[in-house]
Amino acid sequence: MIQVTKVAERLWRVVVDVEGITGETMVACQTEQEAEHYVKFVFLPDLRRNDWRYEGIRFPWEPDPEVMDDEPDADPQV
Amino acid sequence: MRLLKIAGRDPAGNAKPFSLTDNGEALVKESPELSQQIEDIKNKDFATQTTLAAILAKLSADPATQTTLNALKTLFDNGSAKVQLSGSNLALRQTIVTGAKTVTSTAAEIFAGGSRLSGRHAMVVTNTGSDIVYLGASGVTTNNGFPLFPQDTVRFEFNPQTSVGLFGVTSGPNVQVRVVELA
Repeated sequence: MIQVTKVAERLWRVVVDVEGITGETMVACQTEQEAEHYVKFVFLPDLRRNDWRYEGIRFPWEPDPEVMDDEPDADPQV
Repeated sequence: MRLLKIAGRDPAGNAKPFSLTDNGEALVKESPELSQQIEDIKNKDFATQTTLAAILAKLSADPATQTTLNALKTLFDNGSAKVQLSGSNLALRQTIVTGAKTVTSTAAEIFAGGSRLSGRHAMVVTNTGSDIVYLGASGVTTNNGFPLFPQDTVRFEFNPQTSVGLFGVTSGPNVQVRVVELA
């Protein structure tokens, strides 16, 4: 849950509860979308790295880690 | 005939009201009402001369005048009475929260944990990045904010009852800061 509430002109209060990580912050920006973007890509990742218990948490908007193919074998010496 | 009511005691010590006539004759008559009044007086706890003298000595030694009392009232009413505090405010505190924060071009509040620490009285911010962080109120910008240069540290003091938010912003790059809050 990411709840964005306008508290003043260019000031938003954001309350988050995502994957067990909870917090609340204030963001000064023009639009609600900017505030939500900040929380998703800055605020919540900061909370995750500040607590080792959240280390393995992946947020829904984050891409799955790419599975790297094994490097092709060197040119086959046929 | 006029009667003069007076009280006395019989040989057994009991209160006995009686009257005297104009001729001086004593007319003894039981008066329950008068007997009760005499008993009531006997049971009173009257202040002794010693007690009264002690009270008088206290009152007359250094009496507070109405003027003095009014002056004291004024001091308390307008809050100008001087007080002396002892001890340490810090000694009453026990919470420390630390954390890393990313400051971006979007101005946002800075604190150490998941939200502003309740009852905090101080916060210290160190710029561990390589660009300037601008600090201020919610309207902070790179043009009006207080600059915190790389590797610089700044400490803010708060009223624990009315702590306000501290915001940070950069000119563009993401900058890492470390924060500690004390409550």
